[in-house]
Amino acid sequence: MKTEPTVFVVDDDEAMRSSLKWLIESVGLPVATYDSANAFLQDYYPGRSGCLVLDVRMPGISGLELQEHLVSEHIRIPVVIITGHGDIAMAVRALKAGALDFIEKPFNDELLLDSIRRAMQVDDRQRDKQQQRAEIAAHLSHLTPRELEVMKAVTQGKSNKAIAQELGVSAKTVEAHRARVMEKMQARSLAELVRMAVLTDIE
Amino acid sequence: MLRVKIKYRRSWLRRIPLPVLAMLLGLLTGLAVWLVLDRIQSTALRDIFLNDLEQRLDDQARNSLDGFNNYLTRFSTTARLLANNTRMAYYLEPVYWVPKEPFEQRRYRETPPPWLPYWVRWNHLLNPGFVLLVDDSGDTREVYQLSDQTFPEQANHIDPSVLEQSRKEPFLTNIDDQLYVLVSDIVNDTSGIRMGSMIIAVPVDSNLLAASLTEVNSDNSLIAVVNADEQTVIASSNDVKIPFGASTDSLESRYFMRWQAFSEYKGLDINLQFMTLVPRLPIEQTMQSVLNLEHQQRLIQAAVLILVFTLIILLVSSRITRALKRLSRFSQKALGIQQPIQKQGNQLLILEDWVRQFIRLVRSARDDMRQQHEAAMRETVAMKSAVMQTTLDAIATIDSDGTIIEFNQSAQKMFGLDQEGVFWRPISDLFVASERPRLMAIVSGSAKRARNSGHGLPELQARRQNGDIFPVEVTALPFSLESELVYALSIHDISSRKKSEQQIQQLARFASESPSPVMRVSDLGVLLYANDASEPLLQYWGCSRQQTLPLYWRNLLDKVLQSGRDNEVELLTGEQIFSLLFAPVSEFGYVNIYARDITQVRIAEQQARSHQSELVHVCRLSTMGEMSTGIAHELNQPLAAIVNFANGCVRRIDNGAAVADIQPALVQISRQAERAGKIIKRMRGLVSRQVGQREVADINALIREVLSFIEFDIHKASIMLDLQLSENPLWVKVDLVQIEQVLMNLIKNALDAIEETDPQERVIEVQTLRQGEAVRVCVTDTAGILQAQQVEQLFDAFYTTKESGMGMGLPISQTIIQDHGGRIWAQASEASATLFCFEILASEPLNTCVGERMNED
Repeated sequence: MKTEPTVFVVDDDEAMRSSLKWLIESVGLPVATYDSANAFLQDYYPGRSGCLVLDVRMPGISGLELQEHLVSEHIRIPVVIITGHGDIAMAVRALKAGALDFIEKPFNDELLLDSIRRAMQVDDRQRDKQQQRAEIAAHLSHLTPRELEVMKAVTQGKSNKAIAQELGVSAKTVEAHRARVMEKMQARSLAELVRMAVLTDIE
Repeated sequence: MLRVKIKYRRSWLRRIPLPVLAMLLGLLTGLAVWLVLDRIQSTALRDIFLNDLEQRLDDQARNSLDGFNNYLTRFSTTARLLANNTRMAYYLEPVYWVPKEPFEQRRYRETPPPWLPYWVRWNHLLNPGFVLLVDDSGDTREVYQLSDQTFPEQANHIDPSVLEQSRKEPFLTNIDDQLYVLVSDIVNDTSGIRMGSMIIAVPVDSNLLAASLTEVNSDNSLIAVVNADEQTVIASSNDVKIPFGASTDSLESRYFMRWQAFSEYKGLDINLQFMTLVPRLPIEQTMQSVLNLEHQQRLIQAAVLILVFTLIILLVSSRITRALKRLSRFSQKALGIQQPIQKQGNQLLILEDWVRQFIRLVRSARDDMRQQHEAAMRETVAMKSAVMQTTLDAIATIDSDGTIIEFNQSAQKMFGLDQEGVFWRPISDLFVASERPRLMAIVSGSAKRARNSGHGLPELQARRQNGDIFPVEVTALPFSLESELVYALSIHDISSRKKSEQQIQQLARFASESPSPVMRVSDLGVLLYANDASEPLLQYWGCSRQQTLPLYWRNLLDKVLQSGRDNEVELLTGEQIFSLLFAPVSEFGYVNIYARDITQVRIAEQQARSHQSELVHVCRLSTMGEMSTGIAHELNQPLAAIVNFANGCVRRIDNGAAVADIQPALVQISRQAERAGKIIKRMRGLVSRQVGQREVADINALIREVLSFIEFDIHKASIMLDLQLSENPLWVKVDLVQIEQVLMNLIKNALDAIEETDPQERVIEVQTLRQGEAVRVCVTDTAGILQAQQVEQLFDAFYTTKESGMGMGLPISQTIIQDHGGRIWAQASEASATLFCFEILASEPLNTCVGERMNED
């Protein structure tokens, strides 16, 4: 369900919207424009990749409010804030809420496009990691409870003998479980298994 | 002619002539001073001499002990040289001293032993008594005897501890009751084997002490070694003068002595002291001769001094005596005293007697005269008193000293005195202290004036017995009573007259004291009176007092006099503005002019007016400042859009886009530029408008214009704006800037208030309607109802419910509306709504309407 990465522009001023679309499209990035925060929220679903270019001053829900809403909903789309006249308090609030950049109008096109490109990269990386995590989770779901136990113990660095004693089975049995875990998790080495455990945060 | 007889006192002191007395006194004083000084000086000199002597003796003693020590140290050095000599080593090479074995002692007397170098002559030192070679067990193996003394038995064996000590330093010890100094050193053979010690023993006797004394080079002092326990001499540098065994007490009378401890020669078995002696006789002789010589010199000096001093006194006193004699002779002639002057004796004391007697005579003569004078006075008193008692004025008679002689009853009443308390008191007591010189001047001047027969009436401040001060007129008339000149003073109490005079004067000053100009002008226009404050007016008219006013003002006077009514005129003199009130007094034919300086009043009025317009301006600037944020943002939008479109175009052209592709963006750019232009035009229209001109305009158009500035804020705050403007234009003649300001204030207030409410209920309603002759504008907001108390305070300056803002908006709006002849008010309308309204008079529409012009924008 991977979609083409898109730049989402939210600004109440029509001229601003179309000019931003014109500018961003000139470097070959697809652009979607919205005249209000509500319009954006109706259209957007979390799976879509891309970044958000957001005006601060808007009637209804303001840019900063939208940004905070996204954070509270755990939607991790990178945000670039643009504003007619920013002040320090506003910038701090935006950056605290996780905005990638804070740009004042009228802006240098390089500056804006750089920010957008960086935002795209951030999004890309986030998505990669997310995908890895999803794959590992899929593998994990194939493990039996006993195999999961063995995997936890192994990744904690315990020896086969210690695991056998702990679980009350023979060392041979543990060895068999361990081999199956490696197979199911598609791990080529113990180090790789440990990395998977860390990524998925299993205890 | 005075009959004077001088009484001389006869005492022996008076018989002695002054020069003789002076000379005797000089001699006696000189003698007394000499006796005291001589004693003190002699004692002081002796003390100095003795102190010096002590010092020198101490030095001497220190030197002689040092000499003795040095001498012994030289023996040590010699011992070291001899012991380490090669001859000694070669001699000892074949020798072997077997300890504890009987042996024969070798002795040398005439010939020196082979172990001493042939050069030994003891040249600079005394010949020692013995030189011994001793083995390590202390037995004396060989002896070289240099003196005639027999070799002491005890020297056959020397204690090794003595050897040890004498090696370090010269060692004093008793050998066979003879005191010796021992110095030693180790002797070795050529192969360096230790054989024993070589000892030099030097007897401590007169030879040794004398030799050591020659080192110090002292003239006639002696030294001795003393047994400290028995205080007897063991050895001295001169056996004859100080023999062996002499006790120190017996030497005390002949010598000055200094004892020193033999601290350097430890291990001594007897208690020894080193003594330095200096013979007393020569020193005391010297001292005595110096003292005598000094005494003689002093005596001669004193005698010469006394002589010269006495001579001077003699000369001076004989001179004085001669002068006194001349004085006595002169007095005798001047006073006509027959009595002969005493020629002999102390002239000074005689003259003193003379003067004392003469003073006594003069005093008794004066007493006689006063008695005569008083008698004469009494004769006139009776006559005068009759006259004086009858007058109403106070009359006092005083003598030439100013003493009151006579005082009538009126005077007693006037000054509150009784008869006894006044007599013989100076008249000046009855007057204030500062007036006394003037009183005296009147009295003394009266003598001259009496001749001219003119009497002045000077005024003085007199003082009653109880302290009251009152004005009087004093006349003094001198007349002779017998041979004496006295004065009759007539004192007239003028206090009641003065009081009424003062009252009249104070009344007259009313006009002159007035801070405002007060003038009186005659019917002919002559300036009769003008107080000091009128000066600026007089300058303006160019006339002074007793001159006529300019023609214009004379005409005005005529008019006022004819009408008989007050007339008020304003006059600008250049710097000041005066209000003149002409008050005619027809029956006397003059006009009073009362003027008032009203410059400050006019200035204050003008300032108030300019303050008000400044305030309106400031308020307007502050509102515009608040609005500038919105306008800036509004202007930013089209500018940012233009930048974006342009940058987009550039990138596309770089990528080789066709012109047709970028055309829509260029259209957008021009459209956005126009949009920015419109915003700027609108803003300029607001800022550049002139204040103070009233024009006819449609109030609806004004409202629309104001709203266009606040549009952004309204939009941002999600406020619903409900415009209920009348369909037809509503014409008013107003100051456009000021009325726009009022509208802006009201709408901004509504905006600020409404931002605190729920966004769903934010409604602002603006309504215009015709209300009879007036045009009414109302702004309603839904920001909650105002309290009654708040409504009252709304139009007070600096009343504000907002966090920012000066609280000046409504008071200034009120000022503006009142200036336009309208009214402004606030009221709570329906539920949770506040209504602000103002009304101003409607006007006729004009052809060139500002409102229409604005509608074109």
